[in-house]
Amino acid sequence: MMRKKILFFSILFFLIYFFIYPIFFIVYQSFFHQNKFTLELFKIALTNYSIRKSILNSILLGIIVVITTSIIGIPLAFIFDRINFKGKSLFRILFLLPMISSPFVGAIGIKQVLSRFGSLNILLIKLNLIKNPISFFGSGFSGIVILQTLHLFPIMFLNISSALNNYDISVEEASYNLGASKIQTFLRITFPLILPGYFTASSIIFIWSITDLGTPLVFEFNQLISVKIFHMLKDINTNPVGYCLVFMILILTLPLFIFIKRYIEKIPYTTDRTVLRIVEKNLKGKSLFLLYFFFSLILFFSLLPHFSMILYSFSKKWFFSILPEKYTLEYYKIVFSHRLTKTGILNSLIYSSLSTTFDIFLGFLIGYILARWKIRGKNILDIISMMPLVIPGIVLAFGYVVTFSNTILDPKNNPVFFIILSYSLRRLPYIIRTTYSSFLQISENLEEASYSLGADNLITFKKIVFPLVSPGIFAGGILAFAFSLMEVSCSLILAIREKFYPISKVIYTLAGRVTDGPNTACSLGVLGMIITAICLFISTKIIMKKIGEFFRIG
Amino acid sequence: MKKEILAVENIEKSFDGKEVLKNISFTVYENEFFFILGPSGCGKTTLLRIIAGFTQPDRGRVILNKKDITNLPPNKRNIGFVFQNFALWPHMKVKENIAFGLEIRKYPGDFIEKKVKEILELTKLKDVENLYPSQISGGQQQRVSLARALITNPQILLLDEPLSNLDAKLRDEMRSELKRIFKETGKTMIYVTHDQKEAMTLGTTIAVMKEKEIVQIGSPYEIYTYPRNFFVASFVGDINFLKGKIIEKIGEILKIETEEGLFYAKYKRPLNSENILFCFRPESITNKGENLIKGKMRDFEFLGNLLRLNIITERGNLFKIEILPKDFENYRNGEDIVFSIKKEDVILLEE
Repeated sequence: MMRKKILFFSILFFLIYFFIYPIFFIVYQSFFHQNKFTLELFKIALTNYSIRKSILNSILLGIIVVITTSIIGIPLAFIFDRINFKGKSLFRILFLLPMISSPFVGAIGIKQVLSRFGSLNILLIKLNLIKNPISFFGSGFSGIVILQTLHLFPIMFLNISSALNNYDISVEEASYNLGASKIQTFLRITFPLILPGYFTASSIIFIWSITDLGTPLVFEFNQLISVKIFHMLKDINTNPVGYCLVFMILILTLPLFIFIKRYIEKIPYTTDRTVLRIVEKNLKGKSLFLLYFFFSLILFFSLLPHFSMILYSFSKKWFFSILPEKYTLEYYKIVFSHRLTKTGILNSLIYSSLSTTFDIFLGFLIGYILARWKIRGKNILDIISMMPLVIPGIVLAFGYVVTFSNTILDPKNNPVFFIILSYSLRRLPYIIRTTYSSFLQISENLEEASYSLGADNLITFKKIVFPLVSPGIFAGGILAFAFSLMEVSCSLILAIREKFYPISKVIYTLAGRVTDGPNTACSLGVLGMIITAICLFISTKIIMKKIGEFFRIG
Repeated sequence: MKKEILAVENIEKSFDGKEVLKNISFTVYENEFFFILGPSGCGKTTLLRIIAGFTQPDRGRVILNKKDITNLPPNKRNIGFVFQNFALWPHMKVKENIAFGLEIRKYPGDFIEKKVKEILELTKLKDVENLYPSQISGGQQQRVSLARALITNPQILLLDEPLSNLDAKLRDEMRSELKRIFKETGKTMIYVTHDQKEAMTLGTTIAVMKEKEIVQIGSPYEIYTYPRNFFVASFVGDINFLKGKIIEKIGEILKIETEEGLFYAKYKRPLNSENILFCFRPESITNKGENLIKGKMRDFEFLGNLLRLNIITERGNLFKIEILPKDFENYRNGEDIVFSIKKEDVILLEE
């Protein structure tokens, strides 16, 4: 018992010191100046036109993206749940593809296609459909909306799908049986049942959207909180308004987390029984054709950033023309020979493998404790270890820079420790949840059966527990690796000197260079996309389960 | 003198302040098929888990072969456990599941092979030894979990509602299987169930539990014929009852006044109060003799071998009786049904 307690409190202490403390530090700094309570920073922030505009823009962005992803994601989920058609499983995978690269890389590519002098405008002018080029991105804001929507709608799709999957279809049949119409059944039965899932998905998307840093930077749209924070970090000592901006991000995200934890998860909608879902409606002929058309349309647009990125990475000359005039492999050669890209790839591999190893170790331990131990303070561990889901990368990275500056760990000197730490912490909840649910799926009886036959803790762990949970953990680890490899926010903020740059920061830096920078950035992006896709593929093969489980909160 | 295998002494247990076991004591002797019978939520599974060592009691001791094992971890007890959900390891084949206990004890390979073969034979699992648990039927899974628990030759085998996950037909089949295996192995077993039929047909001793306490321990016959209170009486079978008062005692014979008239009973157990329940089982009636009750037949159920009649008296008391279908005419008296309860068949219970 004593050993258990020591382990438990060491983990708790670690998480509090490296996760809660930096956040607390930011909150403190935004209210206290020279140890005196003051609201001065908020006054400055809220009276400054540009900052006020940024806050409103960020909130607006989040809301719009929630709406647009709902419009695409919810109908999709219902179609997959209620209708049988050829190619269903293939489309299910295809609709997840938009998630495999971060939208800011796609943004570099799609600018080629949709900008004022991009492919689409040139095509439309050549066809004499328009006289003057259309500005699809506006000031950049609509560009961000488009890219984020295309990237995030799978999250909506997955969450609604799993919410629909969670209840027995007979609850709807019972409603029809009692005389309710389709609309009544939807409003009274189906909708309330998927509401928790919808709320959760909306929260994830909202938080993701307002804290995205990469996409606005590529579109050079500065009127967003995330970008403001990024720029303010450089001179935070002379201008501490950044603290209160980060605090405002927390105000926007934390209540959602608390709400989900306190209410959404407590809703006892799911049943223990096996859920019966028989899909009887088969689609054929014309309506099937219409469905495919609708699907292709969504896929075309959602994969447009990726296609254009791939095209751009091979293009030799692509100015004022619909498609590139010449193709080349040159930029891939550069990726593997240029000092900056080589360092970036190597760094990312190192950061990601170390953070994944750490993740698996810590996630396994915490998941086991949460599932099996009876110990006081378990709730606290549960809450803290799930919090990274809603603490955005920029907040965490910002926290590390300000909290640990001028200590031995100062990230400005050597950010490696904190890059790895932030990568792991941000993926930790997913690993914990995988472990936790694996443990819950394994009845405790399976372990007890082993004890009753004389096996001790170690043998039971080795022969029963580990073989049963390891596929899940391993799959989770591969995913964590893939996502760390292309992590954006923390990387952009923490890696200040070139020799510490991971891939994403290299891409960002290259994209800003005039000549062949964007092409090389795209090649690097394609490389990252391929690695991510392979990792996803392997891990789904291992768990043979819906990948969606990794994208749900709570 | 029977040999004591397991004794449980004054066990108490609470979960989060809620008491689930209160002052539980009993002894299990060699070759006994000991049943713990009670409604769900009475704490019987907790009791079994305490014996196996998965749960620690707050107070009290567990004695196995005269050794106090209360603080011994489960893996040092050599007590077999058959789980309600079977708890088969899904990643191991049937034979690997079964061999596990012997491998832990580091027996040589050929010995394990021989033992596994024997137990596969005993439990009739020869055909499925190389399959995974998910590939075999519920009844087979049940056998595997039994085989797995038996192979280490535990001093006592605990079974936690082992048949409750099977369908009705399989359950009957497995019940006789269990009886056979119990006979063939001569193993001492403790069996937890809420199904009185299982307990009555299989058990050599039954402990009836009600809300965290053991109410009565005895052979199935004793429990059925001399229940200690109304809970036990009605839990182990159907029973009729009538409020009454003892007004006279003539030797062994008690004279009882009830709503339906004066009745006589010959009941050996001591009673503390004169206000009692006059009870009898539906099947322990005849068509003539003493203690006559008259009433109209409200309805009947044909059970095949028996006919069950629901009789309602003029005063509105309802009685269930069970008779042979061919005897029906013997009970008729015009519009009415008349039946009698022999003095010896009366069960008297304190109110």
